Amino acid sequence: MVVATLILILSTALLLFYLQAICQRILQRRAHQEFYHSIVNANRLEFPFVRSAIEDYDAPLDYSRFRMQLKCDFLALTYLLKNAANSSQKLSTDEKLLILNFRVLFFFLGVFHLAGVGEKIFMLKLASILQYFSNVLGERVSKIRFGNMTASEYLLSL
Amino acid sequence: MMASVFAQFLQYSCYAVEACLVIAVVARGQWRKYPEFALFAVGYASIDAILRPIILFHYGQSSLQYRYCYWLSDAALTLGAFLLISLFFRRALAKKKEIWPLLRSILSSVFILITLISAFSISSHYHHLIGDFIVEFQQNLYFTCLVLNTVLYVTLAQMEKVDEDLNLLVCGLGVQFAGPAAVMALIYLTGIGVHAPAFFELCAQACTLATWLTWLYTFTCKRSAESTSTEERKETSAFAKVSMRRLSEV
Repeated sequence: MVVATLILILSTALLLFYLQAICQRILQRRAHQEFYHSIVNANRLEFPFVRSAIEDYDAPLDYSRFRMQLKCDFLALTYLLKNAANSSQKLSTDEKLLILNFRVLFFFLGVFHLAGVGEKIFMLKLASILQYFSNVLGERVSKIRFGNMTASEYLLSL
Repeated sequence: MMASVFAQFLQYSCYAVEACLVIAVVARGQWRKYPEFALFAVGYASIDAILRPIILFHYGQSSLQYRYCYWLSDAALTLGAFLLISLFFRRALAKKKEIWPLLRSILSSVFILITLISAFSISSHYHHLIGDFIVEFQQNLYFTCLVLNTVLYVTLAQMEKVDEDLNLLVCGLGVQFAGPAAVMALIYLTGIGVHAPAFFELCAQACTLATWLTWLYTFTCKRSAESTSTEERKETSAFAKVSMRRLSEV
């Protein structure tokens, strides 16, 4: 009975851990391409600032401000993912999975904030998801070459 | 009714993903890089998508023959997965001369011990296999593999040179073991009721699907090695610094 209880608790925890690890690995596979800088600059996204404040500067956590910044970036990026340089205007399966992951982590961020522990870890995870979205978007945009074209030339080339 | 339809959907999805993965591993030549994994995937797909459906078609789902076939093949696959994890250990640590010889003998001994214990337990309970015994037995076997898999995951995480593909394969195996182990422990604690087999089947199918989708992703979605210019990186970090300055002013 005790062994079964232990197995139940540990296995459930490890199941959640592995699901989270898979999401993280999917993020890392794209993370090193670093297409996201142009998207971050063009849209003035703030997740690099949040990450930098937590990781590099070890600044005191302004929870409500950081939370709002991450939420706004998430809304902007999900909109862009769906509508920018995307002829099908649909999200791919891994994007949907990561959006779900973001929402779950965002919920737990609030829960852990109430408990007063682990907020930084959740914020870093949320920022890494946003970086992934920016990367995907940046990669997509980088494939469309319209830098030296006029609007009409670009439309005619489609 | 709804659960049955959902279970069927999961089952056929599993067959499709298993077939896709086997084709991807063969067509993309990944079986040369991971021969042990390719062998395991082919064996698993053959049992899950060919052997079990044949027995199911001949004898029916509630027949004793199907149940024996299911649980015995499940035990064999779990032992196969244990062997696969041991081979992943070899792949990860073979170059570390100071650790590997000791680890190899430990893993070999544990594998032989587990195989002997499993064979003895199953043969001694062979006529009363279906019931509490198999649930407890498989729960322990899954959990043993889960622990070994977690040790492998931690070992990989501490290594300097990271094999991303291997990491994802190990994560997939973790889901494959953790889900059924938790469900079996829950069934064992709450007692085998009327809905227990259906509940177990549903959860096991969902975990198997998640595992195989992860493996399929590993072999089909490859990253490209492009990177951005250093100027763009500087621009982003400059933007972050401006925001930091704004924060310090507030």
